[in-house]
Amino acid sequence: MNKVEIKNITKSYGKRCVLNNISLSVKANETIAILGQSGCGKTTLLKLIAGLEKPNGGQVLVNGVDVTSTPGKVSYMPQDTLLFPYKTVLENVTLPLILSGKKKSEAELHAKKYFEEFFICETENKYPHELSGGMRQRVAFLRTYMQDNEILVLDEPFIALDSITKTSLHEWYLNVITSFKKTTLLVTHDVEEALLFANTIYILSLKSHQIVKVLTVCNNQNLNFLYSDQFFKLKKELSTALSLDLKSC
Amino acid sequence: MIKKFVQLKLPAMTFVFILIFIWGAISESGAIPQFILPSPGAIFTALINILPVLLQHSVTTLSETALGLIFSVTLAIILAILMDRFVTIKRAIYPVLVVTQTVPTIAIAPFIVLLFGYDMLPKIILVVICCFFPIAISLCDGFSNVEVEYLNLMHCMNATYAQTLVHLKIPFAVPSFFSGLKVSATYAFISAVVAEWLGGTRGLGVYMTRVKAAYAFDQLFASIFFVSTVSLVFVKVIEFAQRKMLNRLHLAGERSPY
Repeated sequence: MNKVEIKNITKSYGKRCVLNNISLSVKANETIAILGQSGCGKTTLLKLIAGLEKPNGGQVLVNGVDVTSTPGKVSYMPQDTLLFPYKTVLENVTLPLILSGKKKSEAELHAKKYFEEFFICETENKYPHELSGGMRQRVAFLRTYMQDNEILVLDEPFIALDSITKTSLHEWYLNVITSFKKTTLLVTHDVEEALLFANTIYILSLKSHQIVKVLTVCNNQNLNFLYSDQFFKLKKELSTALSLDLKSC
Repeated sequence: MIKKFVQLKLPAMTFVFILIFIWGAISESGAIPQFILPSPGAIFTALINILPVLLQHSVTTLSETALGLIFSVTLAIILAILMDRFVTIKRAIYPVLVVTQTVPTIAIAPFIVLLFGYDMLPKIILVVICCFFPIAISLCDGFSNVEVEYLNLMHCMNATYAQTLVHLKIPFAVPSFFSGLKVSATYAFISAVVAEWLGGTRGLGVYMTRVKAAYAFDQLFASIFFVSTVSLVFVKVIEFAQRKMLNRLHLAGERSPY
């Protein structure tokens, strides 16, 4: 059974169509990437999946249950890290656990187990503004993982980072994918990022606001894949599809 | 440091000095009788002489101000939360609150004194009427101006309204709350003094009406200077608390420091 299923989702803001009859499905532990130019409706699609927007038509199913416009069924990581500036790293990370009713001590004990894996040791009493961009991103990731949902929805999680930090975070995130095995929907406009992480890549058109290409990627999710012939072939294929879409607008 | 002082403080200080000089010149010239417009020197001497009396009376006025502010803050917090939680309450109350602020304090003060007598209560009520509005409105605006993305995040974490309030809305509304409190603090002390003009046995307003009736205008001006100074100190104390609080919450300057 599919973990997430999106059936004929349509969304408009006034007369402006943002998503036009989108359907896709994600299997358990699979990572999919939604790739497209800025303004094609990627973030709107993720917000619809996260239950934060109401579609004009269609359904979002999680584990076969209709969760359209119901927040809290998937763990959502917005584009900006949105860490609370008045909370320490530990307080930020434990917030989802506290909100779900866990005692503070229990929540802290649980969260601290993951600090090493997320490379944020010795930051627990620091405030977000004391951290580097990469660190903040990792803290935001851990907070998303603490939401304890089987499904992760990530909106351009590496967008605000410089290339060196991005590369090191990519490497780290590959380990996280392997260790945590969560069903993940990733939105990105970075072709390499999509190829590295996703088992299936969907291209969302800027012109038609529909999915115009679906690509299955095998044997990726390791850094060596970035130097393989398959990677360069798929990158060219995706880049061509994206630039054709942009030209058609 | 000196450059900063010259840039920021010196123009205002020079302007005040010029005003005092013009005042002194008019007073000394005899264009206006000195008992009506005493010279700055005479006012200063009067201030030194009556300072112990002013301090005694200020205890009453300060108590009324402090109690009025405490009640205002409590009431404002409750109402701001209700307005934020229930849109209907906001739609019903918000416009009325705005309209009530157009009614001058001095016009409603006699009515309040008539209703509640000459004790502390009518003065506290008047302080509450004047101070409650800016705090309630700014706090309510602070709650509703929280970024939608943060609210979305809280929704995704299945936060209840109370949890959203505690973890998100209240901390982010602290700067707005202090803006309102600062405005209220400037009104608070003056409102208490105005309320005391209408009757009572103690307080700076009562003292001012007495010296006015005795045509002791040097003492009246000294009292005005004293009231302004205390009011200013009151605002400065709140500004200090605001700075401390915003630094503590890492909200000083920008809404988000990164």
